Amino acid sequence: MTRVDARGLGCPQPLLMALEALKKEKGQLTIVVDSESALESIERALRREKRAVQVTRSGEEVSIAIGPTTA
Amino acid sequence: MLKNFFASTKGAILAGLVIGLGAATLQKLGNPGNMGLCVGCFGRDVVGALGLHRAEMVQYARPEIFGLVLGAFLAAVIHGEFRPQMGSSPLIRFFLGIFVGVGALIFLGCPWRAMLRLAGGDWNALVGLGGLVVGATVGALFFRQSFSLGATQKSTKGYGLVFVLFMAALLSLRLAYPPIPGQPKNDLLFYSVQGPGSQYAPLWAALGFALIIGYVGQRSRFCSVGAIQSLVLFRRFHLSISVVVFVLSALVANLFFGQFHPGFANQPIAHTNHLWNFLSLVIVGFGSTLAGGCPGRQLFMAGEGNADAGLFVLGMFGGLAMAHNFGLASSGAGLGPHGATAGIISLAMILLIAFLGLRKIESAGT
Repeated sequence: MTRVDARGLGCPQPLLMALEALKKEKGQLTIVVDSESALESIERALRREKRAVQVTRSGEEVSIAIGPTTA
Repeated sequence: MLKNFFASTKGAILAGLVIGLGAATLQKLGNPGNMGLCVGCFGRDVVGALGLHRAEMVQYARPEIFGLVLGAFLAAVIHGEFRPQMGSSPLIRFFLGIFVGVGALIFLGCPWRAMLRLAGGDWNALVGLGGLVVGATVGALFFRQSFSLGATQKSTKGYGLVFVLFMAALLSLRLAYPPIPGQPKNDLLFYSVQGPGSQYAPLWAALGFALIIGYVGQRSRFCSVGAIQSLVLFRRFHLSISVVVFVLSALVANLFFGQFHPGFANQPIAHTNHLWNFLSLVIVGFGSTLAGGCPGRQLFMAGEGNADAGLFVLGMFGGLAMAHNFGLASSGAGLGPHGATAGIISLAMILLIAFLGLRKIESAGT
């Protein structure tokens, strides 16, 4: 279980951190962002991954829960 | 809440179309050659109108600059994306803005204008865009090596509004103190009577297009260096869709309006110094990538309440003013007397900022 906090970071850091975490963490992974542009770029990247994705909003914060890899 | 249409592929295409056609139309309506829309040039005209530089040919309070920020602000408010924030290495961003401003005036245009120059047949823009790709790529590589300006902190709504209100205030000055035909100055603002500063689209067209482009730009995250960076760093092409459509639609509109004149020589507000056309946009691409977005994108982010982006823009305004005060800006005749020196210093300083922002080295040392 890894949690990546990309709140407050500008382009391209949230996506960069998300992609690095996706490579390293094959189990449960949560990425927290607070900008819609970061969320959109990560969601686009996740379309290529065969992992369960659940997006939860709490105010401005968005938590992207990503399930383990199904190899 | 509805999903953001402009985040889709169709939305990206529409964004490129709106911005490209809008820019070409603004040129048709009176803006200078291959300069329907330019954040660098128009920022320079704005600081000229305020008298922060006294280059008489380039002074006009361009409504486009204010409209881009206000349009992005409206989009952010309408869609619940107004996020007041600040505090991510503000001073560093201010200096990056200065160097990017200087670089833009050595080239004679921001990345948007580089693309509009290409769409108008100015092949010097190809050399510049090559530099932009190199600059944005080097910047992207620094991010991969742990470069960061750090996270912002949430701020109050009022503080997030400061830059937006500043733009609204400048717009009100433009409205309250319009140009007087043939007069270089009214009670307050400087206005060019000849040269690029005297060529402008009607006020309401300029403001109207800019508001629409600001809206679309905020929704689509339109960013020239972001497009390059996504391709290079992530092999993702979503952001480049709108940028490519932007160039193509401006090209088609230019052909339609008779604004396409291919060649290297005698292009409007451009020079043919290949080395510095290239290096100047390396500066712009590198500096704005480190700051998280091209000059136009910084305007949009400032409209979203990002005060650091606002500070970058203020730095850029400073750089643009200095470029004319100290003979750093180029002209149709070529480089300014101190252009090359300023360019080398700018490039060196951005490189230094990039190295000093590497977090892995920093954490290894402590």
